[in-house]
Amino acid sequence: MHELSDEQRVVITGMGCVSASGIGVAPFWDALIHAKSAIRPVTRTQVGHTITAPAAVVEGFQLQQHIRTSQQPLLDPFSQYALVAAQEAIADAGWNREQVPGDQVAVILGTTSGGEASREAEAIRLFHLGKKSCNPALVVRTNHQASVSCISMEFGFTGPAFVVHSGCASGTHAIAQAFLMLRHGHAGYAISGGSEASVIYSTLLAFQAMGVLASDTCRPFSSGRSGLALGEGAGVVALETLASARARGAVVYAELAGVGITSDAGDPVNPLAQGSAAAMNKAMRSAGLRPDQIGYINAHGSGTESNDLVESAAIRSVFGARDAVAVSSTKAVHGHALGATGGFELIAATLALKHGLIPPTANFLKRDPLCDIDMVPNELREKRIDAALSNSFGLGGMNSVLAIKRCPA
Amino acid sequence: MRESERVIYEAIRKVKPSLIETELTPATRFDKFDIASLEMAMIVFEINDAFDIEIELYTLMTLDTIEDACVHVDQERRKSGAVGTVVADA
Repeated sequence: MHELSDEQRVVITGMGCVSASGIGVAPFWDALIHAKSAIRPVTRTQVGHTITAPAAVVEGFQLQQHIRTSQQPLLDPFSQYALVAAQEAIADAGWNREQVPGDQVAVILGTTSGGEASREAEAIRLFHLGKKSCNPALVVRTNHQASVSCISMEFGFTGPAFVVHSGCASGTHAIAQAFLMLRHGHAGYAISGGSEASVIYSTLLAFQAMGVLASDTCRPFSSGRSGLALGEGAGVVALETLASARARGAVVYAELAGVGITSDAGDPVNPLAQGSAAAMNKAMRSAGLRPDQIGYINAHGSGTESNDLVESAAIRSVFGARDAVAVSSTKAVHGHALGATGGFELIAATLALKHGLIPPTANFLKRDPLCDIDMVPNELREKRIDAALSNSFGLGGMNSVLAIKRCPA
Repeated sequence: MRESERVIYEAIRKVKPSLIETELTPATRFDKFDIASLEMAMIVFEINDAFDIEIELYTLMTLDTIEDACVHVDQERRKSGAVGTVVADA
């Protein structure tokens, strides 16, 4: 692999988060390392129908408490979360208009459901309450691209902006796309990650009907697991070239060193270990890393039988020995936030690398012999990590893996 | 304060949060606030929804002041049977 110039290397210099653990990266990281699961029984009611399911929801969020914007009436919660997380990431990176030209900044985010909450509310108005007129803001609120357009407008970013929509891999695919654009000179900076706000009646019902919702809580890779718990919020990172970070004297969290993207071409719902393994191998190759250099994997770890067994097998096929690499799933804390989850988990992996602390898999009961990996259960593990992977696998066999590594000063 | 006046104020402030601190009166002109067409559509929607009436968007866009809008809204409410008499409101 040829030596990359500093203009081709991509680093993480800012992070922002809205999660069920609170507003900001600090409460998010605190919850992760102390295994404080934000998953609770959540009840949603529409038209006399009620569903209660475990989920990690953002409670009491008021956009105007975090940012004053004229866009507010046009923003579904999934866009509001993205905007607030982006604002934090930009401030964290220390970007200002003098140093960071707006036309060099890309905004690329993932989402799965987009403005589903607004869509559900309008459906109730029209089909249950019998209203004849439709909310004029519905199209703007429900457009998937609303989450990136509101950020580009708010901060004056005129570089490439679009949304990636690939289910549970959306956020990671978005970050991979941003990485590739920076590496190949299409932009110098990027706001990337994902957002989601779909813990609503119809989404809970749909996942329940599929038979994948947990009965009590999310317990990835653990015996006694019963499925996934939905989450919501936004996880956003600020990316830039190493050359720019050095020129600005910015604090670098980690280098986003490679990405691996594959598809299973297998089954609509059940993943294949070969596809997941191929994505991990590609990410490491792209980053110039060997498996023995990876100290931590933030697993997709959704807590479903199907994912956890296949992902465990994929990890063993790539890394060999059981204890070759430490693994955890942070979804037991922040829930499966669908399009936002890739952003959440890159932040988790990045802070694990920065602090030398592996956030544990919360809610873990007992090892499952069919998930024979070095799972870090319930208690954080101190360990110097020089490189890590963040896995995201979406329905339909969409696989995306990010490789990060410690960045030399 | 007439109900129509209160609802119009609420609709404007909901759609234009920047006006939350701004005093609105019946004499306030719509053109004072740089209201975009989509915002006006949303204001009309909020008013229609509150009173279960159907004001045409373009009708409201031709009105100059909040007082003009109140008069028009009350007319529509009477037509729809939502209010018995304007006198009671005034």
